[in-house]
Amino acid sequence: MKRYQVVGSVIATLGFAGLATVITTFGAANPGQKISDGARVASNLNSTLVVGVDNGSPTFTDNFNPYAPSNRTGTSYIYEPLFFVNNLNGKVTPWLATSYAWQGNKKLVVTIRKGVKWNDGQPFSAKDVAFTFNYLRKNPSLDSQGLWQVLSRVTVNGNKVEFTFKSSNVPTFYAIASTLIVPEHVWASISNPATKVITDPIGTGPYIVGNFTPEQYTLKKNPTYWQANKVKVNNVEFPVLGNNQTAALKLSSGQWDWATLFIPNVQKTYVAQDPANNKYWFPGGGIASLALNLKKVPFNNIAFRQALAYAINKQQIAQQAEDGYVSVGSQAGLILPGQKQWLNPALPNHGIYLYNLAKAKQILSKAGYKTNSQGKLLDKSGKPISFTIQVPAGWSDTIQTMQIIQSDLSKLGIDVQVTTPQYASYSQNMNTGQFEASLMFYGGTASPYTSYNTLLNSEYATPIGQNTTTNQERFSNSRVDQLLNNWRQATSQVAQRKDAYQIEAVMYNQIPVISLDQAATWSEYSTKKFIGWPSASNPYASPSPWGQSPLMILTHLVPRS
Amino acid sequence: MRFILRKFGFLVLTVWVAITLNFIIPRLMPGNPAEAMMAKYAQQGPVPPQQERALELMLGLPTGSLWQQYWGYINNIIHGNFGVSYSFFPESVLSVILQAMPWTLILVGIVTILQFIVGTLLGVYAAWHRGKKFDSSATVLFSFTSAFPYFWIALALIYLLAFIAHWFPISGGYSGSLSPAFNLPFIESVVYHSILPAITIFITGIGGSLLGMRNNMINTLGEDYIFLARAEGLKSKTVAIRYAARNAMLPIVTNFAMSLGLVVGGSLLMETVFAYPGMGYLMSTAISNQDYPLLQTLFLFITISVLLANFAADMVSGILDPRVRKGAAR
Amino acid sequence: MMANQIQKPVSSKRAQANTLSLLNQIVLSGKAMRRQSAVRTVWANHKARIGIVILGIFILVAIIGPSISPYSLTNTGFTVSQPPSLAHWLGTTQSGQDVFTQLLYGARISMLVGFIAGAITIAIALIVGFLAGYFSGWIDDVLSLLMNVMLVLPGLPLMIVIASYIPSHGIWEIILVMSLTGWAFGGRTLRAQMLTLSRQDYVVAARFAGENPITIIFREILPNMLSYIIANFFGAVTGAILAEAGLEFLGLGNPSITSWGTMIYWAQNGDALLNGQWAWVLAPGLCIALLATSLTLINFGIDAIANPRLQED
Repeated sequence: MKRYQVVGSVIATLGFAGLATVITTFGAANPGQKISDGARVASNLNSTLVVGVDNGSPTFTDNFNPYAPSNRTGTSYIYEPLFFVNNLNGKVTPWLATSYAWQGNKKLVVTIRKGVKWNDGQPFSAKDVAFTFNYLRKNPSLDSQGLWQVLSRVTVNGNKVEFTFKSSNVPTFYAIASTLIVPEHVWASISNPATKVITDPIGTGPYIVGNFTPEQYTLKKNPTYWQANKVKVNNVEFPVLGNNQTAALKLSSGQWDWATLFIPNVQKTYVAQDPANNKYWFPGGGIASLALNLKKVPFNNIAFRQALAYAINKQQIAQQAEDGYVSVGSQAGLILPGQKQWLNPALPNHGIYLYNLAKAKQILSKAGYKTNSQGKLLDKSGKPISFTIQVPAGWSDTIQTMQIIQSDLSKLGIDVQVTTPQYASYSQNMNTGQFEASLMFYGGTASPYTSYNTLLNSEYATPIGQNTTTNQERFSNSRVDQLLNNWRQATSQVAQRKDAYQIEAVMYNQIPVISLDQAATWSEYSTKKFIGWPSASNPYASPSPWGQSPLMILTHLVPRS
Repeated sequence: MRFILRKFGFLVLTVWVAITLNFIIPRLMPGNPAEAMMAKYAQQGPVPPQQERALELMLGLPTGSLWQQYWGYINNIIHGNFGVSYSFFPESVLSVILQAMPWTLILVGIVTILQFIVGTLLGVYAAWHRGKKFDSSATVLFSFTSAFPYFWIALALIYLLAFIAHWFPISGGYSGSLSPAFNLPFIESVVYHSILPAITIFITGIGGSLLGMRNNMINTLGEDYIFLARAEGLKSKTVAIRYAARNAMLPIVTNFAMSLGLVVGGSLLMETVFAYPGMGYLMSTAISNQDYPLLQTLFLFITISVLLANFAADMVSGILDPRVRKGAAR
Repeated sequence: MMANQIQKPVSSKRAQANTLSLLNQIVLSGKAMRRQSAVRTVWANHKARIGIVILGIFILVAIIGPSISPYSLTNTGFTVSQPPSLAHWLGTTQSGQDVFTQLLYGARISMLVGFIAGAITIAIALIVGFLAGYFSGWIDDVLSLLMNVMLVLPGLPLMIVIASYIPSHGIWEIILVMSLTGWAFGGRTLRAQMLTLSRQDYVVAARFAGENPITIIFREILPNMLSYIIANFFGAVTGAILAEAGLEFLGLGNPSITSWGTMIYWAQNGDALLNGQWAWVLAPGLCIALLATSLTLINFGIDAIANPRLQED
């Protein structure tokens, strides 16, 4: 009996503790003490910009190392490049450098800005710039843009830095321009840069780290910034995003001033909450395409690819899978209208294959494809054509895109299966060529050369089974290789354009991949506290709160009043 | 003593099985993603050799014989070396998990015990007043609430109470403007953020405890000694609590540990919806980031937590019931 | 162990198995009579009756759903993200499909997944439980240990780890994962039941008479365990339906099929609640809960066969 009493009192105690918890929890919830996140934000100073962009994974780790892949998004508000490159239209703005000049097509000379200081008070100089590039050479794993495959040396000459190339490669300028510069006096002693945890970052940028918790961090204005007079936003706050759905709810309820989210029916769910202030701009940032494995039958047949390009209803994809936020992708591989100066005017309809089922069928029958009695399309050996498209698991809008393609191609009598492997196996399949058809993103680079080179250069078209991270559809065409080579050597845009036009014609006629839509850069912002945001009419930067755009945008924003 | 040893032996065995499953699963699957994983690590920067070895062993990259791999893997686990997390690179998997663990253990632990107690008491009440209004309505109602997916209840609560009514925060574990510290504002914020997650676990979990207790209680109420007690004119409340409920509790305590596995599973999904900074949300982000080392180690930690809770419940039921100790009822 | 919350009816079942003495009170008489009275006992239970009616409706919908659905499942041509209206009772999805049509088609897949996974689960449980219960000795020791181990491993995390490694996620892969992780539960109950029954006089007699064990199992034992098997089967079905929804929700399922689980996944990805499309989220969740409840309610009646004390007066 006694034993039971002991247990009984244990249970009673637990029960009481539980009850106490209930009382305290509900006590905290009474209306008088309500401290919702929204209320807290509103009570903040008006000079704080709240940005919903950094998701953590799922909480924040305190690391502002520009070379660490899982660093905080705020890192790019702290370090700066030599030039600001607007990826929307390729426009170059001097930043830590004031100018550049080509000496021939194998030597680039960059003049470094004077009077810039690191945020620890040390002066910034050309030596830091040269150090940064040589640091990448010493640590090849950091050289994500492959600079040292084309550079032979980087040297200081007074306040100039000279980049000498192994062979001419003019488009590499964009990679050099956008490389983040780090201070020699900090990094010279760091031997393992990728794994180094940096909690107190030394940069030249407009912000320094303020508070940090695993759920939120704040950046505050760098008082010694070289263009401090242009920075009117005193604090930038980064709360943890949460998952996509709660993030969308937070954005809709006005807790953030700036966010980058795919949000359905943005007009109703965001703009309508505060029509005077809530704005969005979703410019194209790349092209979503259907890559067909060109080493496999029947994808190696140009007519077959053309028929597919006509039979896929790209307009419906843009409307339904992407909620009508994006426009149809041009087969020329350019982001329009930003890159329209590169567009070959001879291409019909800006290089877009308009949906035309009858034409698709006509092309197929002309190329000798027949259908059987059930209406299934047969290949040349008489077997029904059927293939599988792979999309990474969880990429819901692109999965939806592929489902639309599935139903479109069934009208040609082609059975398409959609598989959704995990990203790791998706990308491995792409790299080794073990796929039939696949989702692929390309384009959206400052110079179209970079896009074309990675998409089309036959050097990267490895045999199936061997790895490649570019040209995974395995296109090869010696004429295109020649054109790319010409482009590398041309310093004038007129000469570059000539090559571009011809490459676009190949893109249009031979269809290395089927362009679907222009993948958008999602960006929602509120003009309640700050105005001066980039927009379609003033596209001075891509509106994303990540990458280098914030440097440009935060030197443009001004308080509302 | 033999009872404790036997249960402890079982605990060790189950932990070993969990560890071994973790080792086997990646090796059984066709098209092992391990190589792609290592390639992704290589892009991030050099992984320290010891960590790299731990990753290879965990992900199942072929190095050495299977036995060598296995012993290397066990050895790493004993030394707490689970490799580095991919999504938190360069942080180690262990430090990431240790940060998330208290959130889940405290919230899920407290609420599970709470719903168990409340559910059991209601079960006693329902069984005692069997066939009456409360019994028939409560059994049907709670069968229904416990039939909803945890994440669905969580969604509904966020939408109604947080987004529409603004009574509670939409997500997170505490207000981001506060630094985690043991002070009143922070604790208040934590409690405030935990209410909706707690309600979710409570209303989906309580049905199980209630129905289980009710049925056991009805069984016990049919036993001879209860009839005897009643016949002797003892107060019905005394009979219900002292005699019937206590004996009906015995199998329920054992069941508690097992239902814990279910509650933990549901809580993982609940945390995902609330973006609650515990192990469940961590697990779902590990899935979407393909952070296999983190995912596997999370599985291990969750399993070990459940096994320990199970062991504790076994001990409690051993104290409660001598028959259990002697191994008569397994 | 099944990875979700609604194993409750079975957990009460397990409790009964623990108190084996109770089972001795079950009077095992003529099988035919017993079966007939069993159906009557279940039907006599009010809760079970409600459950049977609900389940019947769902089965009907699963069978004829596609033919009574207002639109075609593949029709993506409607105005997107519509709230409920006369033309679209539950509104339309973000990609322009009719939600009500999806719900009707989803019944078929969800129930198919649930019932097949439940059947495989119970088949494994039966085989293991029977082997352990019938042969006893070291076979029993090994299998019981295996079941106890499987029982305490948390199911959903285990499913997640396995599912995240599987390169492709078809319906069958998901069913397989759920069955392989979920059988131990029923296995243990059935073993205990088997143990009791194989000690009954008529079984012992048959054994001494040299009858084939398989014959004994199928002729003498199986019919007397039917109520246990069905109860466990329903528990397994409920578990599978919820587990499928959970895996789909985490993006580990197959989003290309239309089940109630994928409907919630797509509703969640389409920010249905933010858009005010509550019906898109509400309907599939409600269907899952109703179906699971109906099985639980039927189990109340089945419990009453195995344990007369639970019969309603």
